[in-house]
Amino acid sequence: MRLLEAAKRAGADLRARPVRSLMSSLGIAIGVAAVVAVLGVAQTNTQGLLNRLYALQDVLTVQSTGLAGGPSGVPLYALATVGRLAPVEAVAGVTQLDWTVTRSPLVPAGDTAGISVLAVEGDVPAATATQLLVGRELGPGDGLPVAVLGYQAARLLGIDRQLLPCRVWMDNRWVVVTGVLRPAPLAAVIDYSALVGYPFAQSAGAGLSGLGTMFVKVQPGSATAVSDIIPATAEPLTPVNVAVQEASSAVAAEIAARNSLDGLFLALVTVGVLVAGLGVANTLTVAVVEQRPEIGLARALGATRADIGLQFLSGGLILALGGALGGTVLGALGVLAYAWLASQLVIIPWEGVGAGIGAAVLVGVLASSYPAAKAASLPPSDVLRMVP
Amino acid sequence: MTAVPALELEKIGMEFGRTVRVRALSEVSLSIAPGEVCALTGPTGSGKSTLLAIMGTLERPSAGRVRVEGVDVATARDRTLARLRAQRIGFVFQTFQLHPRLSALGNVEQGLAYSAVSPSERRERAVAALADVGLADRAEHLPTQLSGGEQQRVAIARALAKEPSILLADEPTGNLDQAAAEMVVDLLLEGAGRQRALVLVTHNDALAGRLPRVVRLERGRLVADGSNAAA
Ligand SMILES: Nc1ncnc2c1ncn2[C@@H]1O[C@H](COP(=O)(O)OP(=O)(O)O)[C@@H](O)[C@H]1O
Ligand SMILES: [Mg+2]
Repeated sequence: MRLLEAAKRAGADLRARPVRSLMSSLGIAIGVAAVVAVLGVAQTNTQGLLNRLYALQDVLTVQSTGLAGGPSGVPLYALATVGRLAPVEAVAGVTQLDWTVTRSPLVPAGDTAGISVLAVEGDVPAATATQLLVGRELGPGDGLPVAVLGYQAARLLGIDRQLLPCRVWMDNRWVVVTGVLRPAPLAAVIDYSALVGYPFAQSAGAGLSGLGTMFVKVQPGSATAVSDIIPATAEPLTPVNVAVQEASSAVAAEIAARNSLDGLFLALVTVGVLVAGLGVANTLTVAVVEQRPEIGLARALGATRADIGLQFLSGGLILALGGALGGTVLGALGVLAYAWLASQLVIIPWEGVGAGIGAAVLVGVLASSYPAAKAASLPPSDVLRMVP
Repeated sequence: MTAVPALELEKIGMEFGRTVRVRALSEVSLSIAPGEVCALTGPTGSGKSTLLAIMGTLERPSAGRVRVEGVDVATARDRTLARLRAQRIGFVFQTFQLHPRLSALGNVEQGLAYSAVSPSERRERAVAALADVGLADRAEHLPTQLSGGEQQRVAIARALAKEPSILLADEPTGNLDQAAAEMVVDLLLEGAGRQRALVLVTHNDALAGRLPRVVRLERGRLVADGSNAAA
């Protein structure tokens, strides 16, 4: 009740100086907006990465270790044997050729922009958890001189959807590009490659024995179980030759790195909010000096020291809370905009909102405690300083 | 009859300043009964305002003892003095001392803001007090939109709305023309009496002559305290 009255008086005082009040809570608002936005964007990112991480775990990468000295690469028949396992949704094998690919014969052969040529067998998009961006996939057992480009390879060659189908110069012959894949976050090797069918590679004289790499897409949650039985399934005689890789530990490391950067940024923001608190303290101290006669008047009319102190404390709280609420809205809008641009799920960091508002209350109380104490100590005889 | 005096001052002394001492009051003793009406006169600088501030607990004297309705000001807690000012003492100042950002009604309401009066009753009493001084139609006006006489009437309404037992007025007509001054004095004298004491500071002898008791200060000392046959 008493607090409410004090807050009302404080509110009236602040409204009487709208610009000054607005500016001093703007500092708090910016600080809190930064906290909410940073935490929100970080969590949105983390969630996005985790989603990708879970998707990655559903794709296994199988390669030959060569430990038992057997034949080089994973045997071709592994595509059939592994493909028959119940939780396996798709398999594909890829083998790198020593071919180059350029837009035309006029480009020097050395200038390949780092694009490799892979001979592929099986459904590569399905097995690497990606899709065709545009055009047509390679047919089953494609023996024709056609190729599908990985997402980055198409970019590097300067081929976009309007140009399809078009020709590229590959190992001294023209090959028709029929499609381009979406990014395959698991298989960077696919992203930077031109894919041709195994039969075509063989008929063109590439010496192929085993598969360089086999990609296995499994049902969600069965990655570990399947990876345990793949070696014996792919190469029953020398299972030790087969290595299976699950999730990418690099992704987890990336999340950790990003979060530690957030920590640094939050520390900076905290300093900013403290500085904003000084702004509030300054505003209130100036108000106390300016309003000495009015404070004396209130004391002459019966206000206690506590009444006056409470009035200035609630003034500080109003500035800080107003700033915190405005900042929360601003920060949340920032997160929304980011999530929309990055087409990720929106996550409002409620603990960030709570922390921001809690910090604002603390800053408000701390910032107004000195002015409040000063105001409360003014004598009632200050009413006599009032000039008409 | 041993009624507690409204105001009781014993050998009040007051000095201002730490390095350069200014002695504003010396050994002033004075007692004012409940409902008593009294003029306080003296030349400028004689200590009238200082004495009034001490009576109203705005200042603590540097020597002597003050009792307001039996409460010893020297030993009372801040809250006790604040309650006295909120409920028992009404001030009227020479330069009005209205809150510049509050309307006439808001100023009168502020006079009740620190006593145990509900907001709705506060409003009711403020409206009535403003009507009593003839300013019902100026309730929403700010002090700057009122004449000096009107501002002083708002200040009187503010002082009377709390129905104080002591009314302290420091040269309330000092800044007013003749007509406005008369209206203000009439309102103060109407408000006083019965159970309400009034101490009215003035250097206007004609005005002082209208009151039943006149106390005179000179250079901080009480030089005369007599009843007025004419009143
Ligand atoms: N706050 C103060 N600080 C220093 N001197 C003061 C203060 N208030 C009053 N005085 C001095 O005390 C004396 C009495 O002043 P005052 O009570 O205002 O006289 P009056 O009201 O009779 O004109 C004057 O000399 C004045 O200068
Ligand atoms: Mg004076």
